[in-house]
Amino acid sequence: MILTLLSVSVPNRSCLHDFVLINEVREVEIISLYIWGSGQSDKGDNRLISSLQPDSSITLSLPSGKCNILAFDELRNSYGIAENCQKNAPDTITIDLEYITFGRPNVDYGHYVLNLTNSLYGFALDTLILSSEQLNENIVIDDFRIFPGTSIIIWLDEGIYSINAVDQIGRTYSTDNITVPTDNCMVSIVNSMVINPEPPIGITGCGSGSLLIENCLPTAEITELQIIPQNGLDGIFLDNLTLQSGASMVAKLNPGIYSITATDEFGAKYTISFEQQDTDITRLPITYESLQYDFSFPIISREQ
Amino acid sequence: MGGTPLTDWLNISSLAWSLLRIAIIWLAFYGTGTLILRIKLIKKYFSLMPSVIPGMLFYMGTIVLMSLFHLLTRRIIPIFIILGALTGLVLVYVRLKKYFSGFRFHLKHPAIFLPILLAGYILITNLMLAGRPEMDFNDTQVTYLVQPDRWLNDGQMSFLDETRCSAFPMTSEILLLLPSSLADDRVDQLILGQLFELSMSIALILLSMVILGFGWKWYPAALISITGCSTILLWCHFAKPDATALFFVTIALVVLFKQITDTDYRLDLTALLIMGLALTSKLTVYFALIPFVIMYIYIAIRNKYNKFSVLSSIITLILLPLIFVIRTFIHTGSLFYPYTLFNFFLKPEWRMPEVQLTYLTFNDRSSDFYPTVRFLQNIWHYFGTWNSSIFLLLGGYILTIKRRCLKRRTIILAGFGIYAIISLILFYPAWWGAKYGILLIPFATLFGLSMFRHLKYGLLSATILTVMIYFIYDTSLSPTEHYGLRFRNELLESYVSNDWKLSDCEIVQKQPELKATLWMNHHLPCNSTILSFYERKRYFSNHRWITAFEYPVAAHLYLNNSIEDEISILKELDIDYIILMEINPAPFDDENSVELFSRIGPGDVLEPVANIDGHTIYRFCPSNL
Repeated sequence: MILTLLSVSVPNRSCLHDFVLINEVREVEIISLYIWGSGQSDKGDNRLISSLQPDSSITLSLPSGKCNILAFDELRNSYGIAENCQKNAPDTITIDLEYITFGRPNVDYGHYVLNLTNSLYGFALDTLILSSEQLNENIVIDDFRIFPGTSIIIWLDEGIYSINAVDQIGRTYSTDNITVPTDNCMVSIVNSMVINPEPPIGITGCGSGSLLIENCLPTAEITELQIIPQNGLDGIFLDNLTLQSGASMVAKLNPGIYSITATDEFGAKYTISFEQQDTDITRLPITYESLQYDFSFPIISREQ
Repeated sequence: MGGTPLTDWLNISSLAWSLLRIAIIWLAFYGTGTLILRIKLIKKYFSLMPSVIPGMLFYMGTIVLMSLFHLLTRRIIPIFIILGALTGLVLVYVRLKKYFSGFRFHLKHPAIFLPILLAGYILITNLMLAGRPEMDFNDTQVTYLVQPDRWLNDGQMSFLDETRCSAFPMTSEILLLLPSSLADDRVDQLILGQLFELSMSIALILLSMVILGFGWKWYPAALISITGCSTILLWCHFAKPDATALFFVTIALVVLFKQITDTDYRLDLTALLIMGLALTSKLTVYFALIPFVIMYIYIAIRNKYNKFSVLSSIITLILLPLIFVIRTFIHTGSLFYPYTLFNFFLKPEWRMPEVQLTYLTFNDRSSDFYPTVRFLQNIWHYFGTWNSSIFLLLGGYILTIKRRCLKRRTIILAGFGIYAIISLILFYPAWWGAKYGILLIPFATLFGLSMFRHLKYGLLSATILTVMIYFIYDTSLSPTEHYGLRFRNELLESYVSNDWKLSDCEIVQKQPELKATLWMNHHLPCNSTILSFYERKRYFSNHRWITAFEYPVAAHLYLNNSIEDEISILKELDIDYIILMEINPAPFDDENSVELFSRIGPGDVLEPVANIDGHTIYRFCPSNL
C-alpha cells in the first residue's frame, strides 16, 4: 500500500500506463476529477484542465495498482470508484450513473476528507455551515438532505473548522472546532449540540422518575399519548395533545416497564417499550422507527 | 411471541376462526350450487357437476353484478355469503344425516389407522402453513390478491392498469374476493386467501373421489399422495391461482375420465364447462388441454358424436374464457396478459419497449446467472416434484397391462407424457419451472388409484406405496424442496405453544419496504401515485403503485432519453412520489440509464421527503428543473 502511494506521489515515468476515462453521463459535464492512491488521505488536485464533455474522454498516465477515483459533475453529483485496480497496461474506465454516489454524497471544498454523520433522532440535516479562519466566507452546503444514520463526505483543505448544522425543522446544532485532516476524519451531529434547546412544554404524572418524551417526527405533531405500565396499574392517557415536531414533555413515572403509544395527526401510531429508572431522566424520542404496523383497510373501504 | 399485528395469527384459535370463515364460503358454494343443480335443464347436461362449482359460478356472477352497481364492498358481499352458507348448512345437515344413517364402519385391518393418522397430520400441518402469512412473496402482493383488495376498496371491479396481470385470466382473483370480503385487515386477508387456495387443493381430492366412486378407505392414499406432495403444498398455500387452476383442471379431467369409464354420461358437458373455468384461471392451464383434448377425442369417437355435439362441446369450453378474452381485448388489444402471445393488436400504451435490464435477465432462470442443468438431471428434478403420484400412475399402468381396456389407459398415459415433455422443454430448468408443469399431479394420483382399484391387493399396495414414498421423500433422496416431518413437527409445536419453533425460517418474513409503504399510507395524500424502480409489492399500499420495469409506459425511462423526456413520462403517469432503496436505487446496474437519478436533492427534480428502513421517498417536482 505504501509503495502504491509513493508511486502515485512520485511517479516514475517508466511505470506509468495510459488510463482512459470516458464521460458517459448523458447531457452533463464532468467538472473535476481526482485520482489518488488507495489509503492516502489527500485526494490531490483536479486532473481536468477543462470540463469533460459527455461522450468525450481524457487520457492520463497512472502507475499500476489500486487507486480511488472521484469525479464531480456540473450538477454537483459525485461519482466514486473506490480501490480501482489500474492494470499494468493501458486501461479504460467509463464514468456513468452506475458510480453516482446516491447514499453518500461528496462535496468538494478541498483535499482532505471529513465524514459528517447525522446521529440525531428522526430529523434530517438540510443545511451545513462551515466556518474557518482561513476561509474568506463560510461554506454553505444546502443541496443535500442528510437523513438520520447517513453521512455526507466533505472534502476540505487543511485547517480548523467549526460546523453549524440546521435540521429540517430549523434547529441549529454546533460542533466544537474540528481539525482537518484528523485521524478518523469523522464528526457526528448529535442532539446535545443543539443551540438554545426548547424547554419541555409540560409535565404529566406523579411518579418519582422522569421521562422526557420528544416528538422526533419531522412532519407530524403528536395528538395522543398513552403510557401503560406492564404491572397492570392505571397508565396515563393524554388526548387533545399538541406536541409539535421537535417539542418535548416530561412524564413523571415510578420505576418499572412501560409501553408508550403515540398517535400523530395523520392517525399513525408509534409504540415503544422502555424501562423507567428511579434516578435518571430517561429520554424517549419518538421516531418513524417505532411506527406501528397498521394493516387496516383504507378508510374509504371501511366506511362503505 | 404472538400479540403484534404481524404475529397474532400464531395460535390455534386464530387458525380455527380463519378456517371457519373458509368453511362458510364452501358452504355457500355448496348451498347455492345445489339449488342451481335442481333446475332440470341444467341437471340434464351437467349431471356430473359437483354442487360447489355452480355455486362458484353463481358468486362470480353476483360479484360482477354487484360491481356494476358499485356494491362490491366488505359489508355487502359477506351478506350474500352468509345467506348461501345458511342454505348450504341445512343441505349438508340433511345429506350427512342420510349418509350416516346407512354408514357401517367395517375395520378388518386396524393398520388402516396409520395412513389415516398420517393423512390427518399432513392436512393439519398444511393448514397451519397456509395460516402463516407469506409477507415476502411477490406474486400475491404484486397482483393476485391486490385485485380483490382494490375492488373491495373501490366498490367495483376495475382494470388495474399498473399491473399487467389484471387482464385475463382472472377467475381466481374473482373467487379470492370472497374470503377477502370476510377479512379484518390486510394480513388477515392474506391468510384467508392462502387458506382458501389451500382448501381448493383439499376439495379437489374429496370431490374427485366422490365422482370416481372411491370408498373411504382409499382417501388416505389420495390425501397423502396429493396433499403430502411438497410442490403442490408449496404452490397451493399461496393466495394465487395455482390451486384454483389445479382444482378445475383435476375435476375436469376426472369428470372426463368418468365419462370414459361410464357410458351413462356420454353427452355430459360438465368436464367442458369446468375446463373452461380452468382456462380462465391460469395461462399454463392451456398445456393441460393436451390430455383433456386427447381424452375428449377418444370419447367423441367412441360415442360417435355428431356435429351438434362437438359444436356444443366447443362452445361450452370456450364460453367462459371468451368473456374474459373480450374484456381484456377491449382494454389492451391483447387476448391474454398484454405481454404474452397474440400481441398483434396490442394498444401502444401496453407495448413494452425493448429494454435490456439485468434484473429481467436475472429473473430468467435459463440465463447465464444460473448453472446449466443436464438432460437427465432436469428430468429427475421434474418428476421428483410429482412425489408418489408418478409411482401410482406408472405402477398402476404396469400392473394392469394385461387387463382389458389397455388402449384407453395408454391414451390417457400418452396425454401425461406429452404434457410432461412440453413442460420439460418450455419450463427449463425444471428445478424452477416444474411449478408450471404440476397441473396433472392430482389426476395422476387419482388415475393411478383407479387402476390399482382393479387389483386384488390394490388398496393395500397403493396405500403402502404412498406412505413409503412419503417417508422416502423426507430423506435426502428427495430431489426437490420438501416440507419434511421435522418442519411439520416444529410448525405444529409453534401453533400449540404460540411460540415460533422453526429454525429454518422466521415467524414472518417481511418485505424490506413494508414500513415505508405503511408510512406512505398515513402521510401521503391518498390519491398519490408512487413509482418504484425496484420494489414490486403493492398489496399493503393504499396508493397507485407503478413498478418502472414492469409497466410499459414507465419502462421507457430505461431508454436513452433526455431528462425532459423522462419528466414527461412521469407526468404522463401522474407520478407524485418515487421510492428508492437508499444506497442502490435499482437492482444491479439497471439505474444507469435513468437521468432522474442525477437530479436528487432539495430543490431538485426528486426532493427527498423521508427515509424509512433504508428506503427513501422522494417528491417528484418537475418544476425544479
